[in-house]
Amino acid sequence: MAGAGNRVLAGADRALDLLRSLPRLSLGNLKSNPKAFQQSKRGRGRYGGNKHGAGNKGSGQRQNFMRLGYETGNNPFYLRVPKEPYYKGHHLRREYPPISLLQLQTLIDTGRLDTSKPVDLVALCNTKIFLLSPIEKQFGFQLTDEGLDKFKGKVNIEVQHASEQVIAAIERNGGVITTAFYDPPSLLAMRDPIKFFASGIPIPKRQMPPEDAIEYYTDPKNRGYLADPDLIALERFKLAQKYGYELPDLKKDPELAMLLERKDPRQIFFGLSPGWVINMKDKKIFEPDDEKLQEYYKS
Amino acid sequence: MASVLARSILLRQQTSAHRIGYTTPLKIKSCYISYAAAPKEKSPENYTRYHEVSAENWRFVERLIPPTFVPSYPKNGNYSSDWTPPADTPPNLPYFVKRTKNYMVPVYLKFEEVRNERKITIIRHIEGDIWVLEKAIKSHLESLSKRPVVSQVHEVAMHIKFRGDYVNEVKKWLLNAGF
Repeated sequence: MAGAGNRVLAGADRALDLLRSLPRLSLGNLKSNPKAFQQSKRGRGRYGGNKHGAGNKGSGQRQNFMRLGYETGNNPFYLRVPKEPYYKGHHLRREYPPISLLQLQTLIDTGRLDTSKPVDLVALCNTKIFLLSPIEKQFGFQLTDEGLDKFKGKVNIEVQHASEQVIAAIERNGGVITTAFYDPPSLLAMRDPIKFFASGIPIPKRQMPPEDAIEYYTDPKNRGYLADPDLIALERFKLAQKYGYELPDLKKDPELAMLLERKDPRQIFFGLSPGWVINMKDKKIFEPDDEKLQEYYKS
Repeated sequence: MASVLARSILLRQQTSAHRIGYTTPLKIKSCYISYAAAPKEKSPENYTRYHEVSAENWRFVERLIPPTFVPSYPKNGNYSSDWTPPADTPPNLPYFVKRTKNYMVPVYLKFEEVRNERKITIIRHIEGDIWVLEKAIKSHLESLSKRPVVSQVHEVAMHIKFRGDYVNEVKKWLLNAGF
């Protein structure tokens, strides 16, 4: 009654004055009338009660429905179709998301990848263009042969899977490729190292590959990280002969030290040993003194 | 937390007992372990001793720190992928197509469900006269595919859509035009 004051209002004037001070009607404060929507009650008794929407007789009324898939004696659909075991053991399979050579070259051209240092899974994840999800059984990246002829970069790259043509394309340009396995705890640390260091957990020890992957990673043809380096040198020469390119001499390369940089089979970061704890705030690295721990983290 | 709760219950029981006249205190023994109430750290003898590794190794940690911004591309002129940088001076045309923050040409393939799934090529980040650009690209695509190309111009959002997958063709055209 803002406008009432000392005046005495009556009738329509008083109602209008009240209306002026009341909040406006809008979509925000609309509400249906009370009891506008009232559910009718389920009737009972002699005439009120009937079937209550459950129908007459049968499984509907008695609420004893058949089990799922049962077709009242027919050969049911779920047994009629033969098994299609495409996805057999999918929960055990490892996934390697692809990165093509063209994508890798584009990363180099746009300055996203520093090829003056070895390129590994951490460097690829740090571009923030490729994301890895170890929780979805992704075990790293595979290099695919798309844009194989356009690839001109000289890199020391470490991926988890690569075909023969891709290996040839890398080595033709004077680069080096290694295929390496990482277990999921290592991958979780590698996909975001800074976040991992902040957790205060020591750098994990890389585990050996599972039984079905050992053959791949010990094969010098795949440039496996567990293969004999002398045999890899031989295979490099053989591949150059097969594809007909001249293998650049690594010993004369000015970047020889970078190209020969490799990780230990138990190591996940270049230059950092498993068991070390990184303090990002004070810029310090700590190592445990305990003999049992040192024995465990030893490669 | 749990011990605090237990103590408060005990206190409440005691006060009510006093009010009634009982003097025997009620004891509530917690026979469970709470994570929150458990001590966060054990005594130091439970942990290993440690020493600091030489600061020389810190350069390997610095290698793992990702850049906080998109690094600029090298201006050496050797680009062997399909990507080339935009021209130093923008082309003298009534329209302009801006690169994305990742220095890419903003042409994308979209799958739109109309009556069935359709492939739509969309050009974004357009500035200037959008109609001239649409006419130029449309005539180029029609000469390539030798069939009419359906297009849609959005003047407010400043994007053009072409029905069909012409992403590579449009990207190539824009790169050649100097965008």
